[in-house]
Amino acid sequence: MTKMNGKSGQQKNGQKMNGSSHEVVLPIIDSPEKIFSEDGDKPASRVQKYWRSLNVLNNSSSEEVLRDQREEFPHGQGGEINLDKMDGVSRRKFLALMTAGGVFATASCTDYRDKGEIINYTKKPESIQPGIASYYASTLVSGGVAHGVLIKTREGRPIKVDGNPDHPIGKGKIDPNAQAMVLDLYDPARTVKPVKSNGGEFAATSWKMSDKKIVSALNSAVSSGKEISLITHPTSSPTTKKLLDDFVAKYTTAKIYSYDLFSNENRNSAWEKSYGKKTYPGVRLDKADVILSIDDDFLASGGNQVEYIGQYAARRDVEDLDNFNRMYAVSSAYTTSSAMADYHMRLRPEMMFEFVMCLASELSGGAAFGVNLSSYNLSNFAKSNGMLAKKISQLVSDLSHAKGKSIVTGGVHLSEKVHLGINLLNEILANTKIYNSSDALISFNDEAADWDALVSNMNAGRVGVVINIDANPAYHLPADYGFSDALKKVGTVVTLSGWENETSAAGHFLLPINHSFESWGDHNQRGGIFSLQQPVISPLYDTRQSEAILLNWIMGGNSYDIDIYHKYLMARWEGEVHPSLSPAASFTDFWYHSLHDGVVSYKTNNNKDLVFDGSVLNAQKPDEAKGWALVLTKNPHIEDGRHANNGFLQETPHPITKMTWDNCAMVSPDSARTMNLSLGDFIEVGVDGRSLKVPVVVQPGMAANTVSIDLGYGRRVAPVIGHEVGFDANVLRTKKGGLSQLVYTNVSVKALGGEKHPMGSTQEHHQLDAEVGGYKIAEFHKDRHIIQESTVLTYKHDKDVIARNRHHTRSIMKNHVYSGIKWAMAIDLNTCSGCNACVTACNIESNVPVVGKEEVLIGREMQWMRLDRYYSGDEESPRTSLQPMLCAHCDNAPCENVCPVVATIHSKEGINQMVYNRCVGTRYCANNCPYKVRRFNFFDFRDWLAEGYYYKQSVQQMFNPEITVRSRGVMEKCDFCSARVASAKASASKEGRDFKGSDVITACQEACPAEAIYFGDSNDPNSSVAKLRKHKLSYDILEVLDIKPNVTYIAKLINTNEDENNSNGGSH
Amino acid sequence: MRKRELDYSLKVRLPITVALVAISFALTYFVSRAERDGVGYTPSQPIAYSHKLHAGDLNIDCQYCHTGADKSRHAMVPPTETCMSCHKTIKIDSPEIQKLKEYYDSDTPIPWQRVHKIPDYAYFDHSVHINKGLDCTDCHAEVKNMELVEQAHAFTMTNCLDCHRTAHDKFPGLDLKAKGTEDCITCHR
Repeated sequence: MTKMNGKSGQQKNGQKMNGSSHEVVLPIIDSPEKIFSEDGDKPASRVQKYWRSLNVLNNSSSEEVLRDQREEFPHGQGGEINLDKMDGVSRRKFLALMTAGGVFATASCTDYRDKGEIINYTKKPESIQPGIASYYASTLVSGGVAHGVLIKTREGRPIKVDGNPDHPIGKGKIDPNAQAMVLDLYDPARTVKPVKSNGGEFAATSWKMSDKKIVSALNSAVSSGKEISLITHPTSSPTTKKLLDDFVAKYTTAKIYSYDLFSNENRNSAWEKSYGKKTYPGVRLDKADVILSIDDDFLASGGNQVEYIGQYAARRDVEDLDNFNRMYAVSSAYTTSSAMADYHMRLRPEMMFEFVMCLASELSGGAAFGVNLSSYNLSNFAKSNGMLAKKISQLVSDLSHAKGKSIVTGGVHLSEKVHLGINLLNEILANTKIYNSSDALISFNDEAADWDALVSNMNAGRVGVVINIDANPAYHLPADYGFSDALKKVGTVVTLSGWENETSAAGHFLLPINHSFESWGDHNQRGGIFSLQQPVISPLYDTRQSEAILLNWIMGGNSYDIDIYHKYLMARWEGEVHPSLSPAASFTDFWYHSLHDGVVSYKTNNNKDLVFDGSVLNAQKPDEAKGWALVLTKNPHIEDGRHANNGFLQETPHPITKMTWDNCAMVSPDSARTMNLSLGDFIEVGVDGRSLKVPVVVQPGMAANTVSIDLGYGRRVAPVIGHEVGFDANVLRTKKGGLSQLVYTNVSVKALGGEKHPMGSTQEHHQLDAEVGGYKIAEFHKDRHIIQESTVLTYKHDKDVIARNRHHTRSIMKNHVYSGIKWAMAIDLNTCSGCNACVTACNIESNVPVVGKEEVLIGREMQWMRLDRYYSGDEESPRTSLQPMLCAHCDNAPCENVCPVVATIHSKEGINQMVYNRCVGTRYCANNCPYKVRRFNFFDFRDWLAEGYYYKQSVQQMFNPEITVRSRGVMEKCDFCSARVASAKASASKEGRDFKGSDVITACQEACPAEAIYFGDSNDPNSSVAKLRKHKLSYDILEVLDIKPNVTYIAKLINTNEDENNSNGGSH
Repeated sequence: MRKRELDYSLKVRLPITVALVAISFALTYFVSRAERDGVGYTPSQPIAYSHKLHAGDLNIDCQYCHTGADKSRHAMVPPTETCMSCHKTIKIDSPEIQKLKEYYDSDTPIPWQRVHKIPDYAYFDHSVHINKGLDCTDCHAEVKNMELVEQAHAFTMTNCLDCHRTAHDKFPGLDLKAKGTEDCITCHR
C-alpha cells in the first residue's frame, strides 16, 4: 500500500474521476482540498481542525487523549474487576445461598405449561383496539409555550407525545421537554393524595377534610379582612384567567401574584415604552435575510424555539442558496444561537446597550427618531472591546443593505434599555414588518407581582391564606425578600403541585394536581389560535386538576366532581367563544369538532401600524463593566427547575456544554487560563456578599471575565431524581437585581482549588476512533472529514467543493445487493441546531433507560442517538459544528463480522438488526464499531438507578409495547425504527396497497423541528433520501473504511461573506 | 482379581451405562418433544365454552368474536359483552351462562386460560397473516372440531420459518408477491 499525501493524492483522485478505470485507487487517506485556513495571516495548516473539547485541542497527542479516542469507553471503565473492592462471600453464606437456590428452583417446578390468563374486557370501549395506538389532539404547556400535541395512547395509556401537524404554530413539532413530559405522568414520586402538615410532619389526609379546612380559612380571611394570596405563573388560558377572576370575586380579599423566573418583563416594558402596546409580538424569522441576535438564545431557550427553529431552517435550504439567511450573534454566554451564527462576536453583557447604540449611531448617521446618538462611535467601541473590525463592518454593511428584511432580537435577561435600543435599531432598519404583530403572543395575568408588599403583609399578619398554584416561590424568589420566613407567619399555606417542593415543605397543605394528560383546558397563545386541551386518561391517583380545586372552593367546597372544570370550560366556550366566532355549526358540533382537531383558528384584527417613540432613550447611559459579569441562564431542559425530577431531561446533554445531571459555571478559556482553572475546578462566585461554590466548565466562545450559570438546579426539596442535583444559582440573585434580574456586574470570582467536581459531561465520550494505520491523532483528525463544511460563496462557484473529498475505494469483495427497499437516512447539517428533540423522542420511542450520573461519568449513557459537537477555529470565538450520530446501518457493517453468536446481522432491506435474545454480551461489536453508537446494558439500568426507581409499576406502563425492554448483558443500538417499519407494512397490507419507503417516518424524523432528518428507500430514485445521497454536498463519515454507511450527511454551508481561502476562523 | 474387575467395569459397565443414558435421553427428547412444544396442551376453562358448538355446528365465523385478527397484532379474546349480545336471550337458564352473566354483571374479566403463547422475545402480528389471506386453521388447526381448545401445532421458530421459507409452495392459492420475510427483526425487535 502506498501512502499518498497532499497534491499527489488529489491528482490521483482527479484522474480516477476522469475515467481512467484501470487506475486502482487504494482505500487510503489522501489529504483533501483546503476547506478553511485557521487564520488568514499565518501560513495555514491545510485543513480546518475540529476538536471536541479543549482537552483534545491542547493535548492532542497526549497518551490520555489518544487512548480515549482509541477506546470505546473512557479509560479504566468497562469491566475491570478489582478483587479488593469486591465483597467477600464466606463459605457458609455461599452454601446457604446454593441451598436456598435449590429449594426455590424445586419449588418453582409447577405446571410449566401454565401460560397464564388472558384478561378480557367486559365491555370494550369502542375507540380501543388492543394492539393499535389511538391518537388524541391536545395541548401541553412546556417552556411557557402551549404546544399543540398529538398524544399516542395504547390500550388507554399515553406512551408518547408528538406535535399536532394541524397546529399552526408548531406544525407538528414540539420541544424535547414536552416530549419527555410523558414520563412525569408515570413518575413514581408524584404526590398521590392530599398531604397535611402536623407541625412539620406530613401525613396523608382526605380531600374532604382539606377542602373543609381551607374553605373555612378562606371565609375567615375574607370576614377578618385578611389577604388571600394566589401565587401563580403567567398563563395562556383565558378560562383559567376567568376562573381566577371568579375566585377574586367570591373571596374579595384575594390577590393574584404571577411571576416567571425568566420573565419577558423587560422586553415587554421596553415594547410598551416604544410603541404604547403591552406585549412584544415575536418575529417572523423566515422573513429576515439578516438576523442579529443580541445575547438572545432564541433557537434553544427563548420559549418559542420550536417555531423559530423551523423558520430559521426554512431559510437554510441548500437548494435555495440565494435565500440563505445570514446570522450574527453578539453574545456573552455561548449558547446554541451563538453556535449557529455565521458570525459570532463575544461581548460582556454590560456592554450590550452601548453596542446597540453604537450600531444605531453608525446605521443612522448620528441621530434617529429624536434620539441623539452622536456620543456613540462603533469603531471605537469595537476596538476597545476586542471585536474584529472585519466582522463589524460586514455586519453594518449587511444590515444597511437589508433594510426592511433584517431583524435584531435581544435576550429576555437583558435590561429594559437594551430592548429600547433594539427597538430603535429595528426602526432605523425599517424592520417593523418582520414583527409577528398580526398574531401577537398573548399571556394572561402577567402583571408584575409586588413581592415586597406581599412579604410585609405576611410579616404583619395581614395575610390569611397563601395558595401556590403549581408555583414554587420559596425556591425561585431571591432570598432577600425573606419569603420563606414570612410564610411561617401565615395561618394557612396551600400548595397545589404534582410533587413536593420547597414551598410545599414550608406550608400546611400539599394538594396533588393532575398531569396535563389528565386535565382539561384551553389556550390562546396567539391571536387567531385557540388550542384545546383534553384528558387522555382519567387521573391515575387521587389527584385533581388545579382549576377544579379552585372552582370547588369558589362553589363552597362540597361540589367537587371529576367533570366540574370540564363543565365550566364548556360553559365559557358556549357562552363566550362560540358566539364570538359565530360558526355555522351548533355548539355541540363545534365543540366536539374543535376537541377532535385540538385547535380553532379565527381571524384577528390586530394588524395596526406601530408608532415608535424613542425619546426615553436619550436619558439612558451606557453601563460600565467592572470585575466579572454574571449571566444567569435558562437551561433548555430543566428550565426553572420544574423538570428536575424528570430523568430523561436530567440525562439529556446540554446542547453546548454536553453536561448531564449538573449545571456549572461557564467561563472563557482565556479567563480560565489566567485563573488556572480547568474542567471541574470549583470557583466561588460572589455578588454583593452572597456567594455560590460551583464547578467550572471552560467554554470556548464565552465572553472574557464573564460567568454564566444555569438556574433551576440545586433543588433542596425534590424527589430522589432531582434532589440536590447541581447548584442553586438563585442564591446569587437579589430583589433589586443587577443590570437586570439575571445579569449582574462587579462579580467576584475566586478559584477554590481542592477536589474537582465529577462532571457528567458527555463531550469526550464516544469519540470517533482516530487511529488507523499507525497515524497519530495529532495529524490524523485533519484527514478524517468527520465534519465537512464550506461556505455558500464557495459552493456557488465550486459545486464540487465537498464532493471532491470523497474517497474512492475499491473492495476485493462484491457489494451486497439490495433489490427491494433499502432503508437509508440523510441528515441536513445546515439546519440542525442541536435541540435534542430527536434524542428525547428516540429515548421514549425505543424504551431507552435512564442510567444516572454515576454511570454517565463512566461513559455508559444509553441514548441511541447523540449530538456530537465539534469546535474549530480558535477557542475565543470558535465555529461549532453539530452532528447527530446514530447507527449508520453500514452495508459492510464491521460489528456483524465479529459477533460470535450472529446476534447482529443485516436484513434484506439493509437494516443492521440487533437480536436481543441472541446476544450474549461479548461487546465485540461495540468494540468494532467505528461510529461508537452501540450501547451495552451493563445493568438492568431501570432497576439499578435509585433503588429501582424506574422499575416501578407505574413507569412500566410507559414502555412502548412494540419494542423489547432490554435487560442486563445485552447490546443495543438504533434499529431504524423497525417497529414503525413493520407497522407501516402491516397497514399497507391491511389497506391492500403497495408498501413504499415514504410510508415510514422515524421517531427522530417526526420530532425534528428543523426537519433536518430524511428517511426512506434509497432504491427509490424519487425519494428524498435517494436524491440527498446523490447531492453534491452529501458525504459519508469515515468513508475510507469502505463500510458504506446508510446514514449520510449534507455538509453545512456557512453563510459568511468569504471564500474558502480566507474564511472565518479568526479571533473573536 | 482386581484387574479383572477394572477390566469388567471399563469394558462392560461403562458402555452399558453410557448407552442407557444416551438412549433414554434420546427417547425422552423425542417423545416429550410435542409436550415441550405445548402440542396437545388443553387447559380447562372457567366456563365450558364449546368452540365445536359455536364455530362448528353453528358455523359462526372466527372473526365474529376474535375481531382483532385482521386489525391488530392481537386477535383478542372477545369482551364478555360479545357473548352477552346473544346470551341475553339464548339459553339463559344454563348454569354456564349463569356463570357468564355473573362475570358480566360484576364487571369482572373472565379468567380464560391462555392456550397459545409465543415467547416474550418474539413478536407476532395476527393482522398481517390474516390480511395476506392465511386461514386461522393454518396455525390453530380445526378449532371448530374442538370441544375444548387445544394447541395443535408447535409455535416454534422452526414452524414459523417453515411456512415463511416456502410460502409459495405451502399456500399456492394465495396471491403472494414475496415469500414470508426471514429477517430477524420481523419477530425479534
